[in-house]
Amino acid sequence: VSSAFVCSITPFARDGALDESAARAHFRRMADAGIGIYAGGSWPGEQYALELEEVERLLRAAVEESRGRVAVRAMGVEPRHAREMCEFAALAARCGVDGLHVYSLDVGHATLPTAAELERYFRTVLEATELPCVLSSHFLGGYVLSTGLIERMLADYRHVIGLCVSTHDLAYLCRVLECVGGRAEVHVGGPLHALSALALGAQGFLSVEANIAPRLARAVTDAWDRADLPAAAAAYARLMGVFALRPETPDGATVRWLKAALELLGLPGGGLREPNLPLPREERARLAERLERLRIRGGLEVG
Amino acid sequence: LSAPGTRLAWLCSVTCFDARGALDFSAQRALWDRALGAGIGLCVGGSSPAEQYALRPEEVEQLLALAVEQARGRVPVRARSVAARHAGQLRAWIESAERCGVDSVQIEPLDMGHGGRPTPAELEHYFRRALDASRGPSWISSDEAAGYRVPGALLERLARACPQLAGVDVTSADLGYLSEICERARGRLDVCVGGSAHALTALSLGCSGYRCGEAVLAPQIARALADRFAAGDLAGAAAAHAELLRWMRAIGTVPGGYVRQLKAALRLLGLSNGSVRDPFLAPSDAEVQGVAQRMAALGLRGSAR
Repeated sequence: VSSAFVCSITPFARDGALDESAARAHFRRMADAGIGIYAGGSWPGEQYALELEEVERLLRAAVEESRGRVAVRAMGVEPRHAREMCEFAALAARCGVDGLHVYSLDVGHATLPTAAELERYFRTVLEATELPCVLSSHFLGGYVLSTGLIERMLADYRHVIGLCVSTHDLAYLCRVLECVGGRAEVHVGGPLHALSALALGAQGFLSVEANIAPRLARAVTDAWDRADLPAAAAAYARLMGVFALRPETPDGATVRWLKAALELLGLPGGGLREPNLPLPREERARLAERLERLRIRGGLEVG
Repeated sequence: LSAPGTRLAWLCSVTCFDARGALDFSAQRALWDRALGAGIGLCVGGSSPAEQYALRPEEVEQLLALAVEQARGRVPVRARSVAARHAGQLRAWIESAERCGVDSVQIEPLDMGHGGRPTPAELEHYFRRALDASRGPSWISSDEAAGYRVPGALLERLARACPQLAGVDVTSADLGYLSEICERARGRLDVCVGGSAHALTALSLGCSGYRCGEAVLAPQIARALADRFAAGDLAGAAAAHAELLRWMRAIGTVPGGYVRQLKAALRLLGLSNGSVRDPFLAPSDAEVQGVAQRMAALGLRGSAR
């Protein structure tokens, strides 16, 4: 059975405080749509801007609003070293999440870890937690995990339940799927390669767009599981319409336009925290026009 | 900060750890004594090669206090931040650095994480917020390792608005950009370049100095480049620069391995045990051997002291 997950936003109130009420409403909307939840996270979850106490409240809210209906996983941020991720893993376990997303190392200053350093990092984290873990292989970190490393982690740690692969290199995705061989789930990050991934044998995809249109994201995997390829393609095309809402400028954090879109649709989302600033007025106006063309209103995927 | 018209080499310092991973103050003092003896400024902290991400705030403060205690009156001490996720992360660090009595602080560019890049407005907001927290002379860093450069027009606006902004530290392979920054900064801000690669060019463009990790290994050579240039001895300056670049070649050949290679060279020179902190692994014997071979091939061993 396939699955889609939302990479959730973190709502803030007008005064910048964590808006727990809005977060709960948001998580309920995601769970109602039947998609799993990655809560926290660097983008669009703005976890870099959260205090640990706020992360804990956020994860607990996700668990309480969603338990039993969809999976809730703690997304986390790219850590500078293992200690950061181990501390986050302990926090996530206290909150009762179903799983932990283990981001790759970001050692900073455009420096890449060696293969040995990366392996030590993952082993340190995996030995520090009993939570089911999903390993991240994300090109934005400047590198992806080697299949050799993935193989060793799967062989040595039974609580590695999945891989989240974000790459434009489908040959790499093929190699990962071959390496995993059904021993763990594989999701791709973002909707771009969702259909290709499903066709190759992956279990689904993560989506930022699901914050706006969760049922649409779920519709892709539902149609796929029914072997209804025309319906899957149609849902995918509409989801990519949401994906294409983002401004054309290369600058950019997804969360800026995403929060503006949620606000325009009257959905929970709220403002941004530093270092992000709101979309300029003209970009916001263009976003409103695009939303109207997509006929997505009030959180319902219309048309 | 340097006096008007002077040219200064800066040590881009490593952080010394003992075999158990604790700060090694004895080795640190010895390392900085060499720099002080050579008369080069101390840049302390920062992500690379100082491994500040792996340091606790109290350790950063201990290092800065030590540097100030050792260097006061002899050479300036500049505290370098890490690349922060938002300006709020810098405020406590700036307060701590200024409490220690450093001569200036250097604010590294915003690293939003996950491949995100700030808009021009967000970058300006970030630097203004950080500079607001600073009471003393401050530098802004424009380092391509962040994935972008700080626009020259933004630096000019900040220079007009923030009297505490005293310098710009530029790490970029684009000499056109460096030239632009030098012209915009002239008469208002010091400009220093990061890395030894463009040190000679930077001095020719009017920069006040250069900052490099190689100065950890060869502080006298780093100083000689500035001195020879100031004396109008172009041949001497060129020779010193060439030697500095040989040090760079000896340690800089492994992408992303700068900290390990630099510490391997320090180990070979008997200046450090080569220890690093997580997430880095200590240089392997093969890596140390490789650095040794390159140093020997480049004739560097004897010139370090």
